[in-house]
Amino acid sequence: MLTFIAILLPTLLGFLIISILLRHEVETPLGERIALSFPLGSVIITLQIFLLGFMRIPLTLFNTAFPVAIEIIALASWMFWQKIPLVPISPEPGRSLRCELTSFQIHWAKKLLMAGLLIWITAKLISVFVMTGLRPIYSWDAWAEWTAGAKVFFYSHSLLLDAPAQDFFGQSAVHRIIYYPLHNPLLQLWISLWDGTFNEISVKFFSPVYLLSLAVCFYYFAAREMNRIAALMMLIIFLSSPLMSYHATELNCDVVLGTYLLLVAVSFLKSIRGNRPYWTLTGIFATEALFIKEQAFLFVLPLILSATIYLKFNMDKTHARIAMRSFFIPFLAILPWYFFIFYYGLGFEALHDYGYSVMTEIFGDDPNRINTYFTFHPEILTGYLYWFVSLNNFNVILFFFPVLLVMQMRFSKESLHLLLPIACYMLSFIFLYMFTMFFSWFMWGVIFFRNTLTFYPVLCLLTVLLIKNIQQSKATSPLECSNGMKR
Amino acid sequence: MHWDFQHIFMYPPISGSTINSVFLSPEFRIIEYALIASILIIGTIYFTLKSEKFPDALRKAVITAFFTSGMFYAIYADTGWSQWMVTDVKHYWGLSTEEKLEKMDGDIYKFAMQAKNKISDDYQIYTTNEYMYYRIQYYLLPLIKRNHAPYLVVIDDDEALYDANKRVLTRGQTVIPDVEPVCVFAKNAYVLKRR
Repeated sequence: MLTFIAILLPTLLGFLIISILLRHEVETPLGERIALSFPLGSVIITLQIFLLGFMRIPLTLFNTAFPVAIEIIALASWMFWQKIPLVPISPEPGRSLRCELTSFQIHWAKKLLMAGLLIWITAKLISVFVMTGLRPIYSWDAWAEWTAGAKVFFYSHSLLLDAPAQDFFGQSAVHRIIYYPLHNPLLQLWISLWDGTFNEISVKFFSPVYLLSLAVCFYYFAAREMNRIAALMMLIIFLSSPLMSYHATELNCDVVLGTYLLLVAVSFLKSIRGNRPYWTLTGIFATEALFIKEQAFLFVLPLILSATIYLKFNMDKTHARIAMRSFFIPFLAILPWYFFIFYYGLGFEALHDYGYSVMTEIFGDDPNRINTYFTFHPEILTGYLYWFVSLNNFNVILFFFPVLLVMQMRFSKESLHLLLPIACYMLSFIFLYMFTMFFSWFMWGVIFFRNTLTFYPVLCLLTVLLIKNIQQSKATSPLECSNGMKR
Repeated sequence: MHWDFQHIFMYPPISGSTINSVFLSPEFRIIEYALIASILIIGTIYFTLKSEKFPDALRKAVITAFFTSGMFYAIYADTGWSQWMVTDVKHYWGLSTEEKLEKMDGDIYKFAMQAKNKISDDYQIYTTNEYMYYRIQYYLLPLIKRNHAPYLVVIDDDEALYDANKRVLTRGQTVIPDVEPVCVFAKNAYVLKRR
């Protein structure tokens, strides 16, 4: 029950913020707003906890929950005063899935098919929650790198900053990597504070919640671009990735980062399509992605470039300036974290014990040279080609994505703007493994799948767009795509 | 390659490497490729005969192949996922968290919990088993591992030798005198304390 409250509070916080941001907007239905809420609210809470810890305020339940309670009360009061509705008025109530399932105008066979697909999806999502509750934390990275940190924070009620910088967060406890952002362990801490104890199962429950958010947001996006049945099938294909499903029951950050990158992509797309409040949400989710895993900046930097180019050439100056402000202001929230890690020298070059022991074998007494040692291994491209066609782990998405890309007759402007950050993100891994000593990670054999897991949701989103573009390629419409196909 | 239906749909159990990649049976991969190829060829012919231009027929066939093969793969993957869930329900349903940890890690967990009851300060750890080196640290949290700590945790260490008569722990060139046992779980799992 208390774990449920720990999950509910960030959802509530996020929901109130979204209701305020989207108060003049009617496109986003209630279900999608709820799905956006937990990802939005959870990072706000963990960033606050980080600030509390940085200020040496004990990380107790009262100290961490009190600011959240004040924020919720303040936001709810302001919404009440401004008469902002909690439930948006849907512009086309007849287009919801529930309406289609109960409509007499739709053939029974189609309704039966939709119901069957919906049952399959629901069963899959429920099974992920069940699996989460069955096993304690099991995977190496989860317990050694993330939960170890969460445990020391919980028992010490602090971030253990009263130590030399290299011993912050518990002296690289177990396998903790010191420069990893703190969202994951602090969210575990938040749940544990509510539980009153550190339970190896309760702390995992934010993971399937992220998958649920991801699935719902992906579905709503696909349902806008395709017919209902195709959207449901797309969601089944998306959720069927066994690697993603398993990760959603554990405490690694790959699916979590994938969720935020998808939310950034969806928000960016909506912004480009004229839904202006989404510029703020794009900035918020991009900021929050940076507090999940450090590699998020490989997506966020090209996103900033893409957004800037779009605003400069597609909007009048006044509106572009407003949109820019909305987009960039949220990034201020991550500055304390970056100030902290660079001030104390905890950037990417701060290797932990294990990293030092591995890199010392290669570089002798200066293992940090990994960051400046360049090499050339073009053979990894063969590896990438193989993994793309191998059908491993990600259904047929990786196999068909290049095919669908090649089959585009024309790329819409929005596709191009979205392709830029995704392509840069994917290529940055290739660069890393081809030109630096991180090639040794690629030779390990499985890093490709872990990296891919972070952009797999966005790749699925792009697949939806590509399929829609192909279907519409006969039409003589202008560059910008209209919404959805025939229902 | 062993072609029988059971093997084609065989799904590996969850293991420590599942977090990095899930095995895909080569037989299923071949069936999936065959399915994609068949739909592409048949679909292109079908749509071309329906008076579509060849490029448009090919595009439609690609989309049809995508959804068909994707759903077929989803049936396979989710069948395997269901097997995992059934196995985990059999193993873990109804157990407390501690019982689940004991089931997962067996003696490592039991030893760690006994050691945790006895250790009240920082500790050193000696083992030649990498998994145990990190797992014991994890179970002993919030106790901290450091050099020259008052407690010595020895588990599955091929190089360590404790002489109970002389109260000396020897590990290669390292000799630690004057240490007494505070917890003896097994011959190769014990905790010593410096006097």
